[in-house]
Amino acid sequence: MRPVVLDPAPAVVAASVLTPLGTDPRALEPRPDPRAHPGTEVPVDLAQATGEPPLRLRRMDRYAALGLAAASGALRGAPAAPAGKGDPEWGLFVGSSLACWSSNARFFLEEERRTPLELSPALFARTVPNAVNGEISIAHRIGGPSQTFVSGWAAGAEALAEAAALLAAGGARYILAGGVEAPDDLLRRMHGALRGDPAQGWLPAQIAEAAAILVLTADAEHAATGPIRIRAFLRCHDPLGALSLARAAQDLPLPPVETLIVANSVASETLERWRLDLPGAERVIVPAATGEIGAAGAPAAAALAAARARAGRTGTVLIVARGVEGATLLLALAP
Amino acid sequence: MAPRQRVVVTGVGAVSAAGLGATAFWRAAVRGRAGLAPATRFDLGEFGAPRIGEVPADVYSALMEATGAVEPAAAFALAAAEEALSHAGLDASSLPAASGAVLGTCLGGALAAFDAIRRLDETHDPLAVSTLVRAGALSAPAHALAQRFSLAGPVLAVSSACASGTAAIGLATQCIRRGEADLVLAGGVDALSRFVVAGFWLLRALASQEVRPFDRRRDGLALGEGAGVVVLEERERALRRGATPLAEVLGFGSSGDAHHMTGPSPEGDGVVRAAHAALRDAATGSDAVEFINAHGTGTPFNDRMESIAIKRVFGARARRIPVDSVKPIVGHTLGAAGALEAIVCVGAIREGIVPPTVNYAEPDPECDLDYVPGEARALQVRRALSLSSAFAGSNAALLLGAP
Repeated sequence: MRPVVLDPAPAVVAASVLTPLGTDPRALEPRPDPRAHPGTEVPVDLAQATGEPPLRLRRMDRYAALGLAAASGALRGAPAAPAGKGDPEWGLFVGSSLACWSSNARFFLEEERRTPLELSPALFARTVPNAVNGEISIAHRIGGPSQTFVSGWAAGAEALAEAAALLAAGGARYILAGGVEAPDDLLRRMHGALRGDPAQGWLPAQIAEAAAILVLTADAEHAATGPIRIRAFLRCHDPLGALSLARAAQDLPLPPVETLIVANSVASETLERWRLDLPGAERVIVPAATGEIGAAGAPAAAALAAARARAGRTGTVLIVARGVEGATLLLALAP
Repeated sequence: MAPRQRVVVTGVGAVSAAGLGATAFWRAAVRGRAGLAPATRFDLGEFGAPRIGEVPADVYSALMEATGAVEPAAAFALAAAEEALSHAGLDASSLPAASGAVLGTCLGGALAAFDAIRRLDETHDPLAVSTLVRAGALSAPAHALAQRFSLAGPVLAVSSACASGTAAIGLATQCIRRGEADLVLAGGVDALSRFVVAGFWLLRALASQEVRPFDRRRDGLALGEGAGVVVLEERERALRRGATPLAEVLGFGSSGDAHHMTGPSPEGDGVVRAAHAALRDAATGSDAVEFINAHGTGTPFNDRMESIAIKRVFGARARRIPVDSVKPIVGHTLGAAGALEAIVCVGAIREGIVPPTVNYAEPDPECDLDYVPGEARALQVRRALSLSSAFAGSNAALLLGAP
């Protein structure tokens, strides 16, 4: 794999995290005392978090509403805001493994059980993974580059990496980037069925819902306000991906690695099995705190890295995300 | 970042209602041979039995058997990728180490996921359900390519609804440009189902009879299925191995409408932004474009909006640029559409032929461009722009040029 070193390196200038632990990214910090399982739902009033009228919010599924809530939260903390109708300087990159599949499953079941005239066109309109981009762009007038990544649990990391690369290349001034997962009972049952395969038996028992959206910019004026920057990324698709990438990342021209944040249980499993050792680096495992949050894991980890940097930590943070099928991405962040 | 590399198309592959192969698709487009017909794999009587662009039954069966895929999207993608690699003169078993895949899709392996949902309540065979769940993922077709061709580089699945195929080629180009990969299989795929037909029927978006993009009588679209895959390579590397570049990817842009979840911005704002971004990315002006492959679905709103957007981007020159839509040939193939349409642009550049817009006969005062009525036209094309628009307001534009 070949590292992509970003110059200028885009900064994280704002972030919003919604997990079963609430909205504080520092809740992902490792704790010596194992706590009770936090549950699988985000304990946040989405009407309040999005600021949307109830009627508009009711037209969205949980996936779009969670994404919009996180985007709205990130923009509230950002040093700039989209202007006009469809601001081309603002982009929007979102990653999700499950995406809109709760709505897809509902529409599928309704189509099987009901007559055509009983079906809901509004429900069908939610069955595209980029529905979350649509809702966020309408609410916040974002008209620039827009992408939705669905590469499994690494999709949120893909969104961050692609956004950072586009910003470094001058393709946008600001990009909202992150990940969203909104599993419902049916999708959890499907996940359970996946674990029925002995080869997948190590998968976590539950997938929790979550959303984490960051505001990234390489704009000189505003990037200076960000506590940490995305300096580089590496990705590959191989069985030992997380291990190979973490080793390769140590050769990047960055300050010493202070923290390795493992965004998903599948990445954690690989690293544990192969006993990766980064001397002196603290290891933070996101799913140990939140439960598995899929594509939201890496963006939530980046928000934690930003919070730590704001508190004075200066070392390099490596974030490893990996999907069940093998797509693996490592982000290297440093102040 | 490393200096920007140039990216060329060295192979193309397709599966569509025109049959197996990019040549079959291109010939159907040039001859104006519409491939739409009543459905054979499922009963669409409740939805007015619309004509659709199914992959021919014999091709469908052969691909499912040959690829061993659990569901058709992966089978289509694998077949198109095999063809593209062969066309590029590459041995699929010995690709460069830095090879990847970027595949766009609306529904991924949805048919397998639907099957898994049906079987959840009767899980006598957990392994079978587990297999269906894995094959049903949105990313499953992309991972099928990674597995089949042992791709160790970036493997991405993207989903910008009907702009997915265009977005995938654009994102793959960026991977190569920044030196992250030497070769990327890029394109789009989707398979038809009652799910999709029911949805578009509910939105009253299906054509009552013929699909007639830009025609005054147009009243909707016809759905299709298939896959389009191109081999993208870093130009110098491709030349060193003796490959013949078919076209160069010059620019890519995307945008959000910020307007409505299912209806396009009436004045084409998002398409204008995406087209401008692609031209800016290519560091070229609109004067260089000689052919436009439109999204051209045949719906009243899309075609009017797209015509307005083209006029806003190209000004007075807009009426002199041939604009075509191949949707009447293979239907609207959703996530595959942008990739198949990029292949049309490659064909136009390679062969100096612009395909016609089939069924276009009666001009609409609101769609007043040159839509290439009747027959294909000989034209030297050095720069071709492909436009895609989608639900949720996603847009993408790809500028291809002679290599």
